[in-house]
Amino acid sequence: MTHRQRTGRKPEAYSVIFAILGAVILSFIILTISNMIVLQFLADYPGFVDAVKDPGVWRSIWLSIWTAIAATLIALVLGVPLAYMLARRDFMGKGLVEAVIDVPVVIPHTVAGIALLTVFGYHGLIGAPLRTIGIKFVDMELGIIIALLFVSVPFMVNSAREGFQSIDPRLENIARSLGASGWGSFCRVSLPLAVRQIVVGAIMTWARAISEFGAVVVIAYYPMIAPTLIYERYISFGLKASRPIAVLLMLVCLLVFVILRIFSSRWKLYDRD
Amino acid sequence: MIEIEGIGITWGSEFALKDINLHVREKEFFVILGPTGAGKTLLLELIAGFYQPDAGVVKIRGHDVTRLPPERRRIGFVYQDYALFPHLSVRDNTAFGMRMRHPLRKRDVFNLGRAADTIREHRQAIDSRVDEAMDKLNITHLGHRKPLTLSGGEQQRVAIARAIAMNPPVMLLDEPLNALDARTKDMMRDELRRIHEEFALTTLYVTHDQAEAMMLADRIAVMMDGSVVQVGTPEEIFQSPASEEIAKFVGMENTFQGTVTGREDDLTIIKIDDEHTMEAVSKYNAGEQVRVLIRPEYITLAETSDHTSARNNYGGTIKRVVHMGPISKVELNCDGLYLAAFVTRRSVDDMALEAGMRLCASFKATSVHVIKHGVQI
Repeated sequence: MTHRQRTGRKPEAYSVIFAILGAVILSFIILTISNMIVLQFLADYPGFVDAVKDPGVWRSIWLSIWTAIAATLIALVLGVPLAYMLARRDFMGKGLVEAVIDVPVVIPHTVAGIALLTVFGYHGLIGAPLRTIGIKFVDMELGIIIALLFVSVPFMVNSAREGFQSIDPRLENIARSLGASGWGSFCRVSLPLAVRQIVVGAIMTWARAISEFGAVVVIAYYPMIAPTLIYERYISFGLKASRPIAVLLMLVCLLVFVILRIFSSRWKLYDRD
Repeated sequence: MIEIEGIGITWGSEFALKDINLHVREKEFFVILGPTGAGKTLLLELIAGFYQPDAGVVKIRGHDVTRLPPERRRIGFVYQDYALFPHLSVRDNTAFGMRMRHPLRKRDVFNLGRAADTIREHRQAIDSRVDEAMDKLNITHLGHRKPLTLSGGEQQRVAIARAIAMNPPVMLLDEPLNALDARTKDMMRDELRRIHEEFALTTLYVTHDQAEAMMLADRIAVMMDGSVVQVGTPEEIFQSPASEEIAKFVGMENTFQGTVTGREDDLTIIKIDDEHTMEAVSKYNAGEQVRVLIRPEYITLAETSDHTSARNNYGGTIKRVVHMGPISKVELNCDGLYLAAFVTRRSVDDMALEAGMRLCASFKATSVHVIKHGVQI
């Protein structure tokens, strides 16, 4: 928008081609989303109203939201310190650690679900001993959170690591020379300077968590998160039954996403006045 | 005051610092001079405790601090590019160190009234200390600004105020004037020496600029390739460099120690030695010890002094002409006052300058840069 052509000359061939290609992919996304929403309202508005009035639907959507938040909070607490270490320290096997962090992104999510079930299932390495003290994962909220955490934590770690890497380590040196302990310099200097990247990471983590289906459905089909509910209605009753819930979930997600975008773009921490 | 004994560190497979031994005296302005890549900054960072040496000991006032973390060494540190906290205002930057101190004692837990008093007193102490530091560095009016909106010179002042507010006995400065323009540089150089004396600091100052070292230092250590190659007063270093390599690096600068003998408005008369006086524009009074600097490019050469309005004129003999690309350095002996002047290669040819020729060197009173500098013995 700001790079307006000053002279009245014709646009060059390459920019026309780029614009067309860009338009194709944009319309692909917009069409897919809007067609579903518009069609729902035009063709089957009563179906949408039924979905809105169905407490079971809201229960699923709410479950999706809060388990995603829980997974994000755990990712924050466990992921940020790791991100800091990866940004600041050199140690043996650092490359391996970075690769391990990215693994959940590349493996198919049903595979992740199977793997999680193997560890956290009734007879699993962790699931079995914890079951004896009453902590269960299979078909429990805890299982959902574990699955969401597994697939979304890479976004948190990678984003926070970039944030920490962009801070001049000499700022921390100076903080130390001024009497701050390692902990104090982290809290007063590194954390505030990286907070924007951490927030972006948290938003990405949450977005990834709320859109997860494959891993969750393996370890915790019940209680049903929204994507599972939509899938179940689709399998049992077809498109007409599942679409209203899909539209509702999408609208809720879009709303949250828009609010977070506005919130984070206005957040200028230390840019020039 | 600061004793560095046998400090060494390897960086990768190479020696970054080799067996460094230095003894900096109380209240001394000690300059570490060396070309880029000599390991000067690393040495400062080792003294501050940002890194651990592989070998050797750092002592401050007789205490071994080699294994102490930086926050327990009480050392002020100023980096070349200032490293101000971008998310904090100028005032919060300055107050950072004071706010890191926790005033409460364990017994205060049982007496909340006294704890509240202690906190209030601590806050007042912070405020007054920060006010003082900001006042001394003339940055009071910048209090609410963020560092990234400040000029280089202003950022520099904030960085110094932030270190000074902690009242550290030792101050480490890493090429603090490097990023400044020439005019601000001249001003800040004077200021640094003033702060050094006013706060009774022991200052360790790293630079690659000979003029800076000459002007500021009580003593200089020359560093090359990770080793200290010579330690001495500026006069010793510049007049009798210990090796050809050092001589090449330190070159020759027009700096002189002198005493102000009179002043009329801004025009100061400075006595350099029994035969030589200089007129300079400065604010110092009779009796004050000063150091002066005349940049070689401000000195003009002529066959006679007839056509110049410059205040300072010295007749002398050319010792040597050194060609340095398009310009040449002409070294003169003016009856015991050694001056170096830059002239264009063209003028060298036109005036047929060569060793042994008699000439007149002139420079204006405004070209003489003066800083107050008592000689320490």
